[in-house]
Amino acid sequence: MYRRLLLALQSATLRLDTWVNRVLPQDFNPLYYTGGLANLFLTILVVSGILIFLYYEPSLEGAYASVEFLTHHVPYGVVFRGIHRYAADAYLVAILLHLFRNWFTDRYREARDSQWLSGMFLLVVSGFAGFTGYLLVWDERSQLLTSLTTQALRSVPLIGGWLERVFLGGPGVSDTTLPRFLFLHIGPAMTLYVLLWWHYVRLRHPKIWPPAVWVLFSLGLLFILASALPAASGPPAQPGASPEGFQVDWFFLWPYVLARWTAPGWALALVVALVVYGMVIPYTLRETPEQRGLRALGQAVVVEENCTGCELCYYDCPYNAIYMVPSPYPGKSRAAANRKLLAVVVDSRCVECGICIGACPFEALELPRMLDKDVQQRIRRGAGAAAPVAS
Amino acid sequence: MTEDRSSWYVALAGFLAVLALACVALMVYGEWFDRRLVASGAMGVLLVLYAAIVVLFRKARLTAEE
Repeated sequence: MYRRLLLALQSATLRLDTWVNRVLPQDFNPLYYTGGLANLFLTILVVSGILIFLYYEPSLEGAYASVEFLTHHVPYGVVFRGIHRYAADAYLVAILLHLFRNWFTDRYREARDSQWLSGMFLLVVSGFAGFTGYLLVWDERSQLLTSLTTQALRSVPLIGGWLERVFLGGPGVSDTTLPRFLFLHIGPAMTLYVLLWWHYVRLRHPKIWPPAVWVLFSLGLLFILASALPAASGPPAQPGASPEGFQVDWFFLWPYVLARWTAPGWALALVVALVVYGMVIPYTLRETPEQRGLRALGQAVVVEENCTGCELCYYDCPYNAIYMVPSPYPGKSRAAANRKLLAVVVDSRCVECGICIGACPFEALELPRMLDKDVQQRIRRGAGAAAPVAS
Repeated sequence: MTEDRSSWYVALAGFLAVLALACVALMVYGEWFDRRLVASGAMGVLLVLYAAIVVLFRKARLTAEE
């Protein structure tokens, strides 16, 4: 059932690709650059965040006033604030599109599980950084979110009280709370770059940036949104008050809608359960790779006497599984006699895709269970089986 | 047929370029008369128009694949 659903979603995703390719030139298809778009929005968030940070005062008395000063008195301050706010939404949308696209097109298992896990961490940390951004304004919404989060954390068995103190920077809301929120906003945002390194480290050709046309379009859209629907604060937080309602931003604050329907602890439990499920998705299908016809070919092997050190396989391997090392001895073939480098396969990274075999014009790589003679034998066997039908 | 469509794309790009010029005028107006949301909105539209012009140029085969 689950497998059939995935296949249906895969088919729908590929059909959508085809449709977009009819409208736009293929290399402009934004669905191919969802990761790059997320990266673009993250960069916009960092740049606009630095500009906002210059004016922000992390204190109970000064936070709201500093945000209002930025919004109403700094030239284009309202635009920068709006760009920061809408770029956060766009960033999350791009991440989710990237996640679903890779999920539905089956690019999350086997050798890609490290990208999936790092991506899940990126999603969680991004969501948390986005959420703490709402607290920094210190308006009524921030106050209510702080209260609901504190209740949710308190409900965690054993470590609830400690989590609450870590979150608030002390036993309750005090002068140390806003600096703590600022740390909880900027700290995770900086961690994102470490996670991005993890996300990219196993990929040879990651598309880390969208085409210029999408950079222009995204920036333009953010400017339009920031100007047409300027980001605004609610009424300032009042010490001791318990505000009732707030404007919901569905991208980041959906757990709080749940928290108000049920109990904050249940909403937190649901978020944790979703995250855990997300982490184990690559391991949910019980078929072994062999059952799926994968990893049955043996990892690629370098035929050393033929390798010329041309580096074509090194550049083509999408999994960073081939390294070039100084050649300790000359090759045997005429083309390889004067080589300077030799290709080496990192077994733990090879997924047996065969791309390197196609890349090598010198027959210097092979899959041990898919040698020329095996392929010919299979063809002969197939031809033999087909022969009676043909005759 | 393709040629006809190319000229149509170029004509549309030309029209968008005129709109982009209007946006530049709006940006100057917004900055001059302290209506900065108008200026930044016009800047946003200008960027979107520029992106559209790049796509139209490609569809008209005036630019090649990157």
